[in-house]
Amino acid sequence: MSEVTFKVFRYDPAKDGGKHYQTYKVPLRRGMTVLQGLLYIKERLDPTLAIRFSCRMATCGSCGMMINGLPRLACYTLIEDLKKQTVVVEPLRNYPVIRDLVADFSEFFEKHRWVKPYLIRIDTYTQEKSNTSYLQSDEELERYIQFAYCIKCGLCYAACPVVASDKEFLGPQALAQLYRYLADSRDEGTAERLKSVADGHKLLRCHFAASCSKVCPKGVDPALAIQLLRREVLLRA
Amino acid sequence: MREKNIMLLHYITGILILVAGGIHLSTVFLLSPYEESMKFDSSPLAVMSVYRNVLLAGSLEALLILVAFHGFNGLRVILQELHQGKTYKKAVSLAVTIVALALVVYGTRTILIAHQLANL
Amino acid sequence: MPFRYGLERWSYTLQRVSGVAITLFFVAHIVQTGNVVGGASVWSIPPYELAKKVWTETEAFLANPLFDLGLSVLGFLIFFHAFNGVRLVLAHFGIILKKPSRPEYPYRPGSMSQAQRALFWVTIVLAVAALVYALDVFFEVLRL
Repeated sequence: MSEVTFKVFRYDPAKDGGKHYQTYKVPLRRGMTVLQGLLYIKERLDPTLAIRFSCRMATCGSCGMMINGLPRLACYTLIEDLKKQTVVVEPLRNYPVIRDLVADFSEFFEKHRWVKPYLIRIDTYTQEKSNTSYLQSDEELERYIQFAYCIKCGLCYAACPVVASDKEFLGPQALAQLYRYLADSRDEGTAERLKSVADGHKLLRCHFAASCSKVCPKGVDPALAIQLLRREVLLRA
Repeated sequence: MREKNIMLLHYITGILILVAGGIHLSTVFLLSPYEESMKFDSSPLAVMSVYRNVLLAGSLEALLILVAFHGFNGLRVILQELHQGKTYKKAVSLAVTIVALALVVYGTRTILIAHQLANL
Repeated sequence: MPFRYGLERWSYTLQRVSGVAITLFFVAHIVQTGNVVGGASVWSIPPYELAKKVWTETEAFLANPLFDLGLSVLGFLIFFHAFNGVRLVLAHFGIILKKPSRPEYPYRPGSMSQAQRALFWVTIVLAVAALVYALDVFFEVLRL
């Protein structure tokens, strides 16, 4: 059985506010994930380490962090796959840090709420009160279902170069969700959605660096959603 | 609405620059050996003689306007991404427009003078 | 440092760098060609002899091999920016990207389609060709 070194970012605003890296030696089992390594540290070595995790199977989106320089899910990353003796773990880039590896997602969720991630129907009474089903064919489903797999893990937001410098840009997750509802045949708020991003930095500052799609753990491909959205906005709105 | 229109123009000017730029590069590099093109005399293939032809001078003028718009709009996009704020945004837009307009005016003057010089 | 985010990230970086470089060159070029017909103080047609004198002086100044090398690199950047720009216009309108489909592991994002990546390599080839041609024009490396 071998060992691997974890270099973990530590920051506690309540204590002294100093940012530093702490090294831990973690025994390695075959098939061990970074999350299991961090939990070993938390259970046996240093209980003060703060991390977010929940499902440990890449479906809740809680454990996003920068692992060896790239945004990844800790539960989804095998230590063996990193092929390095040292695992450097830092909180997700482009988010304010609350403590240690925990990032503040309020701005991320705010931008998500801003795009109105729900079906907009003209007849809201029927939508809320009656028992009608909205019929949808398979082809209509295929147009948006890929983007509905988003688990809001925030890795795309960490990878995007525009998010890093532009506060007004909505970010790949929010824009992909905007397109998911736009392309949904059951949605009737097309004009309103297109108009909301036709001006300003919200959509048009995407330059197709596609880093978001590269790091997405669920294959949502936000870059594709944004280009299709851009096409609609430029040609239709 | 406005940013969307500016971006559409950015794409369109980009494509048009391919045409106008192609013409400019052809006249300088492909019509004759490079040393020949750079001579001042009115030999038929020299760069100066390009200005004699109204169509070629016109395409040069078009290239000037298109590149000024496309390039300075690009600079505006990059600068506005680096920092946000209402006054900063307006200042960048204004500065970029002024420099682009100044260059277009100066370049047009050059083309007009060269056109007259070449037709002496 | 963003080295491992894929091809499209490299394209974004180079497109920006080349765009800024070309714009700076554009300013220098307008100023230089303006000087040749007399400079900022001249607004009507100057005497032929004066224009010819300024032209030869400018040409002598620009005969520096450093400027020639710079122009060759600029040739690479211009061709890269132009053809990558065409690829970007096609990608931004979704034309060379794949249609959305259900994600199957291992995920191959439709935005990173083969068509779009092939166009990037075509751009690199054409830009390198422009660089080689420019080096040949200025330094006669291949005597084409």
